[in-house]
Amino acid sequence: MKPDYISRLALLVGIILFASCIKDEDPAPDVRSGLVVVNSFLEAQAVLHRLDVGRGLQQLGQGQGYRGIDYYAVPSAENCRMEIISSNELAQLVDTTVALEENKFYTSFIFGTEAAPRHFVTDDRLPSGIEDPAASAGVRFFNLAETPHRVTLRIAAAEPIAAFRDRPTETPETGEDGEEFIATTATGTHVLTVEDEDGVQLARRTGVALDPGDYLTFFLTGDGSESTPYYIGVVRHRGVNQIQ
Amino acid sequence: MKDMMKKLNLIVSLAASVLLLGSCLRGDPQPQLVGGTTFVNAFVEAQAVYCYIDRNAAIGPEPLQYRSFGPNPPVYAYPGESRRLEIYSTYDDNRLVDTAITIQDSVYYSSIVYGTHNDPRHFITEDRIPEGADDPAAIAGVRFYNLANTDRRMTLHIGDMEPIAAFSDRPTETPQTGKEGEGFIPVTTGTYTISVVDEDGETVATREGTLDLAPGSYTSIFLTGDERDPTTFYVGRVWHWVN
Repeated sequence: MKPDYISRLALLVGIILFASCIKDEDPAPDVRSGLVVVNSFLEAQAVLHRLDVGRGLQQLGQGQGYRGIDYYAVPSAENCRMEIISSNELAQLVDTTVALEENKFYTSFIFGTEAAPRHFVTDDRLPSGIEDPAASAGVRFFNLAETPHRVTLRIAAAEPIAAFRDRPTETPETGEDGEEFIATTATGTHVLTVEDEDGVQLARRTGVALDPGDYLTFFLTGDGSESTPYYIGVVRHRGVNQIQ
Repeated sequence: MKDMMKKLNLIVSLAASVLLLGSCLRGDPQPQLVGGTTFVNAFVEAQAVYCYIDRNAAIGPEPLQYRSFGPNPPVYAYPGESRRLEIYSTYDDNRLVDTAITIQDSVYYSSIVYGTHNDPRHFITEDRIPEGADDPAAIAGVRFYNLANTDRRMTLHIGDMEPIAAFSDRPTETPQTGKEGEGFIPVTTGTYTISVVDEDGETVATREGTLDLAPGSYTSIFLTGDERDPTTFYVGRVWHWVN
């Protein structure tokens, strides 16, 4: 009688152990998109980005100070509602919908004024024809400043890139039109300067590292006042979208 | 039979100890991996700097504060050519230095960064025992650098000692003059007050307390600071590992 009892017990244990192997299908990984948020909104101490990826509005971080640049990996969503509120009486600056595709990288820029806040989201894509993104470098430039001037960005002493010349303050349209990175071979450590249409220097930034594989967004922010001088921001992108 | 066993035991243990101890006698001594790099931060325009060798943090996760040096012992970077040395300022992540260096085995190096964001300067010294020194542990070696952002020429005064020619009337170093001044100069050992004086005889900065130039010590003394705010002038010192 005794051996029989043991073999039944062994069978039972075996069934229990193997049962865990035949559980339902593999769990699907939660696929994400890269989202950089840039705060160039100078009329508030800080802004707060809130996203609804189908789970209600959730906030990104604990508020973002002026000139802040933060990176998030967020769940991908075709219809992602994005809301940006200002720290001034929690005024809503932006309420829009963006499509965040899987494994793609996006950047959100907030600028303008309380009366006329401006916002655009870029699809951070490479120009077509780049074989090896790690061997090339790319740059783009936005004028997000509160300025009547048309500004030009110079990288080191080189002739300014055509797209970086005489740019008025962006509108959402011009911003999205300028989303494609411009490939450059001028790698190294550079001094950036921004000039107005008369060649007067508005801002300068030293020691900007641009190595092969670096994709950078330069932006001018500020309004030239004492408290918010003109300033060149640099977004160092963690990933870019390659057109297949 | 018992006696036999006892004898056998003795023989076996004797053979074992001979075998084991034999390994102690064998072989040449292995070469020691001595050498390394000390980073010196005399860059007055930022709180601190980050140092990387081949994109690896050379000092650790914390940046190297202004007026400080590290690590101690110096970080041992694997010898080789075209190692990439980068130094970034904590202000806006300015890249101050991006250079390819050659690291030899058994050499101590010092990487010294100074200047301004507009004109960052940097040089690397090889920290060696002076040639012809009979007993490196009996002398005190000193070198002096003017790393301040100033137009004045600086002279180092060590106690009441007559200023040494190499430490006199030094303009702010360029990478070339810094590299040329990498040799340590033996001075009389002792405990001294240290001050730096400009060409008009005006004392620019005095080091608080005294500096012990003990036998076997190898010391860099440098002036750092900026003319735009004379209170920033400071006499720094770095103890070096030498080889």
